Amino acid sequence: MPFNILEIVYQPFVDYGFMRSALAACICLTLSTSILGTFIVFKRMSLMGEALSHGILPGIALAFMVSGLSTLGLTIGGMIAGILVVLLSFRLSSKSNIPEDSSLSAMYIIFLSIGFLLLSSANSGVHLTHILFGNILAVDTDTLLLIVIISVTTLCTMIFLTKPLLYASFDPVLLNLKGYSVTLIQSVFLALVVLNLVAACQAIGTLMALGVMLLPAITSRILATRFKHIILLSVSLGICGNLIGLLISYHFNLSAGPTIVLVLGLFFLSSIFLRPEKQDF
Amino acid sequence: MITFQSVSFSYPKKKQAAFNNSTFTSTIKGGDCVAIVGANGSGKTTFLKLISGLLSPHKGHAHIGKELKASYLTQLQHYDRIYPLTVFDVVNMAHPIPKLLWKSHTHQQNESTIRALETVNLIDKKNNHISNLSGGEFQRMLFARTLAEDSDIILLDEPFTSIDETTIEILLELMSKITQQFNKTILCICHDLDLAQEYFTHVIHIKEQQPILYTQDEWRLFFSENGGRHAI
Repeated sequence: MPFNILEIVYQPFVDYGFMRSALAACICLTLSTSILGTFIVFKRMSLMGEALSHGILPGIALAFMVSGLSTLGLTIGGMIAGILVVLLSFRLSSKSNIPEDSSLSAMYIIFLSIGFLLLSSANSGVHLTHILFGNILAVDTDTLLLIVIISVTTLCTMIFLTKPLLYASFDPVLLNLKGYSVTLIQSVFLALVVLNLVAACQAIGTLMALGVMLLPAITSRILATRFKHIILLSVSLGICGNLIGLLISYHFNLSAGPTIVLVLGLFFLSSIFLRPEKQDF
Repeated sequence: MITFQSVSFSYPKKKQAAFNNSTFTSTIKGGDCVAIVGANGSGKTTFLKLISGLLSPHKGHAHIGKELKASYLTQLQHYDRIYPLTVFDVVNMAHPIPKLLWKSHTHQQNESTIRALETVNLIDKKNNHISNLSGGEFQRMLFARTLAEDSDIILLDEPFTSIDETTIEILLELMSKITQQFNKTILCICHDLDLAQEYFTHVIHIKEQQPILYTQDEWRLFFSENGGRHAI
């Protein structure tokens, strides 16, 4: 029996190159998205994450219409749309009396509709499904390379950015008086979030990308109380969830992206019952 | 110590300027504990933000002496009380931020944090999560951070909001200790005019875009001659 379980776990990765690529893509994505997701939860920016993950769609759709499923084209298109949705919503909010969360919600729904319209007018149902739900099991070398580059860039930046971000989230005034630019720190952080969402989109689709980023972070926030533990647990849960999700999707012939997100969702729901009885916060 | 000369400033969405060619002549020195009073919307927080450099005036000059270090504590409700930090972590934020993720604060920096926590009587709670602190303890923790920062001027934005009277007295005693024992200057926005009269050495009254400095005796006289609370 133990032999069978081991076989179930490692045999797909031994037998199939696409499973190895999928696992590599998942691990790289998880390493960077879990850390960013932790800060999104700390900063109570889940709505911003939602807006960005959907707001990048028209950029991806336009890039797809111009250059097909070119990895670089989709990345640049997604980045531009993501940054645009944030800038426009902040501008809208500063020019009117509506709060930022309302303008952000309004803008991302508009961007999402434009994205759907563009994709449906491109007249390709297969590609629409690919962009919305991704296909981690069909990650090509270009996409894998892009994911690795984005992941390494994110991790290298976070070596310098983590502590200032921690300060910026708790007490931005203190950081300002120390001579740091809070706006610059938050802009770099947002750029990393957009970049990772674009990468995650190409692997598991625009509708699922945020799940991979946020669910491990929210779960670890429930289970752990110290900053370091929350980040480490978030990364560990992310990797476990991706691995289990991939294996379930392989053995039961299910779509990989939603299966991974559902496993991460199950971790989240279980954490409510598993959380320490006496919790400090 | 404080420069506030011909300052004009207004917020983008507000029609009326917070300050319009306003000048404030200051004789504030080390050891002074100054209350800032004024009606709602008179520009008390804006005044603190301008002199601390958090806001830049559209015209004129507003700053604290270049050789002096300032700390600014925002209103308590602006802090995320469920943030995953301990009391020690927050007070340790006083020191320069380690450049790399795996770097920690030095032994001397940690020692200075401990001393600051001892001064505010929070040493026994140094490993507690901040969510476990009461409002008064949270404020004392922030005071400890300003002590660890070794700031010359401490700017407090309504530190007594939502805090009971007994705790306010403890905080005022601590503020008095900080100013007298450590020769720091405190500028504190205060809505309670009785406290302003009783516990502070000076009062800055902001009315019609103009900050004016009074000594405690001058303020008492002004207060009684101008109909008490109606003077505000």
